[in-house]
Amino acid sequence: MPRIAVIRFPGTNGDLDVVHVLRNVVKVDTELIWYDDYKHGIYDAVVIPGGFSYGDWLRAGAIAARSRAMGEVVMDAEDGVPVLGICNGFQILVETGLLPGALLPNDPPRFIARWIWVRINDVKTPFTKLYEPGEVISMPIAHGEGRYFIDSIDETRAVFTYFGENPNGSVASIAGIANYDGNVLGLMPHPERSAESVLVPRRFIAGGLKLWLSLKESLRGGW
Amino acid sequence: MSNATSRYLVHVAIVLKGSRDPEGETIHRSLVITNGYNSVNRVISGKYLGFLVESRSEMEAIKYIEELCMKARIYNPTVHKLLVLGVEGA
Repeated sequence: MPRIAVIRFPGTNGDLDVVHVLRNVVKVDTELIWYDDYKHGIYDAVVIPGGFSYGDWLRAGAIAARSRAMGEVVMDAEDGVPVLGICNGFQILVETGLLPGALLPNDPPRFIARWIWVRINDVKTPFTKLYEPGEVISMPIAHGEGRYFIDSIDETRAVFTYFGENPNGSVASIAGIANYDGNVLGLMPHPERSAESVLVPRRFIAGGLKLWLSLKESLRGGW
Repeated sequence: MSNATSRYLVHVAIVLKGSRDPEGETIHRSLVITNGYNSVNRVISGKYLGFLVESRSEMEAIKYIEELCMKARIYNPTVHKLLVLGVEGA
């Protein structure tokens, strides 16, 4: 049975939500690991959840990105292990250099916490395999530094784009990107908070569930 | 050259180099123009850091901190540039 690691940094706060969804909704073997104890080569997939690692000091994700644990995650990523970064996890992956570009303070400059719609542009990743190409889903966002920026969007693989509005001023409305191989994916919306219908407000859908089911399916049968 | 070192305080700022600066724009619009300081064309926001360092000279202290900021990724070269604001004996 595949084993998934969920890494907790000082200041991470989305870890228990991810563990809950993986263990109780998707039903996969999941281990919550303190960042200093993380070692590469053990797990079949890695999730870096959201929160405020190191209090977002310097820049969101900048200090966690320089930790020994992220060096281990880079080795996993280079071995083809699926690595998912959600919100602050996405910021950490960008600061580590596993994903290109940068995440800047929102434009307009304010913290945003609400549900939005997102379009799936790329289903050839282990996290989007079960979505339809072009499918539009809803998930919540909650961030202050989610404005994705890159000099040329040709350099990135925009897996998720905001649909109907661009809440934070991201280049090309980008909400989430993958690396060239597709095994490393980061996104600002929270699929762990949109995997069960009981959590979904009226007029929205539990759009995150298929991301977790895709990961489970991909770990069994490839992508 | 003497090997004797002194303490220097190197002042740097990290600022955006090309993308929009909504914090600076908001300060400009809401605090500067609103208060009638119409001669100010733009406000640039950034993050200040000061490094207290042992070094043999001011120039060496600046070079040391510039290298540190680049290698430790104190700024993200995709979007930021480092401004050395000054150096003083400390």
